[in-house]
Amino acid sequence: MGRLAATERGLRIGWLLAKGPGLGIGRLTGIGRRLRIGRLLMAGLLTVESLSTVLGQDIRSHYVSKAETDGRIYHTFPVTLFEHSEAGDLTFDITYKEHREGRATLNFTCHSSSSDGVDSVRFVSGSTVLSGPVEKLYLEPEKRGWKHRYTFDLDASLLCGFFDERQQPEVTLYIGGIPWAYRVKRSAWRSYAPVGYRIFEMIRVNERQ
Amino acid sequence: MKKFLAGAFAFAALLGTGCVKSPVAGFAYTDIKDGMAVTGNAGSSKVGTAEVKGYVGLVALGDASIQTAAREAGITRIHHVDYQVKSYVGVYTIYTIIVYGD
Repeated sequence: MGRLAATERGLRIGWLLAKGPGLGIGRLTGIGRRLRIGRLLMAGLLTVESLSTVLGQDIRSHYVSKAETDGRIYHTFPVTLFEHSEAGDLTFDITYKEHREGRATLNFTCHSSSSDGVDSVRFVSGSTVLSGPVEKLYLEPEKRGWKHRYTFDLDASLLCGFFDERQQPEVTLYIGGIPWAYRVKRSAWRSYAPVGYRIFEMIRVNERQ
Repeated sequence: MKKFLAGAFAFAALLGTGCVKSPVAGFAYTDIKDGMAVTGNAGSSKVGTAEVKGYVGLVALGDASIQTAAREAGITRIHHVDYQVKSYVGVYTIYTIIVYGD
């Protein structure tokens, strides 16, 4: 609901900016003309932003699914919800296939100045803990440091509990036994957690039928 | 200045719709999914994505190759490939490749 109100506000501001004084004047001075163009650009940007907010509430744009002979496969698009003050962002996506003993695969990308690999990971949200050893997908050099990509298996039944917008989740990567804690980006989490919850609730209900 | 901006905007919009591979594309707004390729490999348990983003038809960045998408999920046997495009008046365009496989 909060996002809907913000969207409405964005659209209203965009409309007011476009409609504001100066637009009705037939002959505009140079400054007036520039102001008008500026307003129109601002209105356009706000409208595009508002539209993307509206579309963001639709979970269909956050995942894909395909029916296959041995069950439906679901995949959530990569999302960046966690950050580390030194290492930067952590981006993850989740794949779930039905009838595979309720296991899901979480792939994540992180960055580091070192090529040392991650041993294990721990995603914590309230009382829900998703943890386990990771398997490296690839390591590649970047302008500064390294880009790491890992995968790990988890119990999919915990995912609805994980995506709880009231919580302040945290991710810890263990590199050579040393923990690296990633804090959640609060606004991103508040926007995405309900989406994640609805996706895995839908999967749970669909599989039960 | 005004004419230049209007021209740039129209050019961006045309470019934005022009880059869509689907036979159907919207001038003002596009949100489409389509198939790209199918192989003879059986089934898939992994999904990988890769994307490029375009801004105002002037700047486009990213790597939406099938190889990159497959590598993101550790896929070595590709089952099929889809893509999706979202475009807002050509000002902001996202092109995503989705690879299914094992």
